[in-house]
Amino acid sequence: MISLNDIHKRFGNNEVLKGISLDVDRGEVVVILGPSGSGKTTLLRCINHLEKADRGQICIGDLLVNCTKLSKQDVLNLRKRTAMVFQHYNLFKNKTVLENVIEGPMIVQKIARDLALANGHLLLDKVGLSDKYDSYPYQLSGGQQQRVGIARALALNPEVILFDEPTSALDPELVGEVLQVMKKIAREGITMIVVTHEISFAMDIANKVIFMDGGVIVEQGVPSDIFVRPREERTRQFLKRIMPEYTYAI
Amino acid sequence: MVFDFNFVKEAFPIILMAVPMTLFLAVTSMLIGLVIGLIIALIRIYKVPVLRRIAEIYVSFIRGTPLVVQIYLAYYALPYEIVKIANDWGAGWTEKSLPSTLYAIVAFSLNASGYLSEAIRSALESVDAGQMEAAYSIGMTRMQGMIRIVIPQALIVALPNFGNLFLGLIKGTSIAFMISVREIMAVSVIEASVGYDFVETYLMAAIIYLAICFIFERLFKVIESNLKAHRAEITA
Repeated sequence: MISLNDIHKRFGNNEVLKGISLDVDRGEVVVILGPSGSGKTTLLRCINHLEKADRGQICIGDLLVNCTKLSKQDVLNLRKRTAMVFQHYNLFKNKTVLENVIEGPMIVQKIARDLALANGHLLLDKVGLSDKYDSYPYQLSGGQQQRVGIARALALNPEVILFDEPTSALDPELVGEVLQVMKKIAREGITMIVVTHEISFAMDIANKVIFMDGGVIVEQGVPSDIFVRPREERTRQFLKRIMPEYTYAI
Repeated sequence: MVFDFNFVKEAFPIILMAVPMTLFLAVTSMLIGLVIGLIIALIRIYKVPVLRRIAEIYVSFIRGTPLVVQIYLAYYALPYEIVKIANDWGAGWTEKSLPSTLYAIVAFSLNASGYLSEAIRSALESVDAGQMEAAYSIGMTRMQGMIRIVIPQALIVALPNFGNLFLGLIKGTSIAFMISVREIMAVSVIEASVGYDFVETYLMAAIIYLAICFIFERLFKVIESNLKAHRAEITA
């Protein structure tokens, strides 16, 4: 169970998050939608403290932290309970695919190498990269790199995986393979918070859809409500822009 | 002018004996310079208040004054201070208690650190910020991320620069003869002055320096290509 309470964040004069509160249950898949600049990526990055929130509380499992006064240990604890999949993959360029996946378990969680390796093999098989253990990231396509990114996140066995626009940097024909892997792990009950523009993914997989605009949550609900009967005008406008067929789908 | 081959035959082995001292000066100063340079680079990258200004002034001073001046400063200013501090602790030293090699190493290390810090800084900054974020995201500390992810990648970028600076340092150690450290240049000057065989001696010195630099040039090339083979596109 993850819960965010009244998260605020500003960059200089620009208030990006104006008090976000959000609950995510174990095993839930939450998709965050919104126009660019709405603060969705910032919100995600506040959860694992890649950005420092100015105010608010974050609760992940048994850990509750207050963002105004975070200790170094709090930050590490937040990060040990979360994992992130990045828009630009951010695989460790000096490490092979397998080393990327076992790095966290071995160095951070101090798991024995042979155990970490065995688990790493399993996870890479799961994302369909059994033949790429010893490749370096630059030898892989974008879609393959992102699947390694997902395996690296899974290897940490986190309470939640944060996906920051995981398919936005991919060539259109590679988006499918990544979404397929994400669907697979969603069905296995991994808790996921996903910032994405992939409406079909949200419709199929999300338990909850959150629409953000201007630093606040405008509307949230199950996909069938949000996509079919949005209550707010701003949501309607946004959906119309990202899925033109929506006007006819009613 | 007559080229004196007999002199060359006699003096060459003697000058060769000074090669270890030159290498000792260069390698030691390089290693100490790397440590200090890394610290300076980190201070400047992380914009540590106060220290950052001091680091900037330090680097400007090192890069803006001749090496000869630096080595004379180390040789004439340091002994007095060191002896004073040592004697405060009851050591009973005089200004000759410490070998001039030590002052040479101090000067060369500080000089190298100034240039190396710039090479290290630009190499560290060339590593994509996403690499550190990814390290944080899997729960690493800044130290772990630096040592395991960022520095190995920066090293590949920095290596050609390190090679250049090291060759410069090898040649720079020739200035140590001015404070009577018995390295290649000092021994050459001594040998030459006996019979005024300057041309022969300096030619020998040139050949020896050339050979040393050639070997290290090759060595750096080998290391570079080995690293690159594994991690080809890090700079891309």
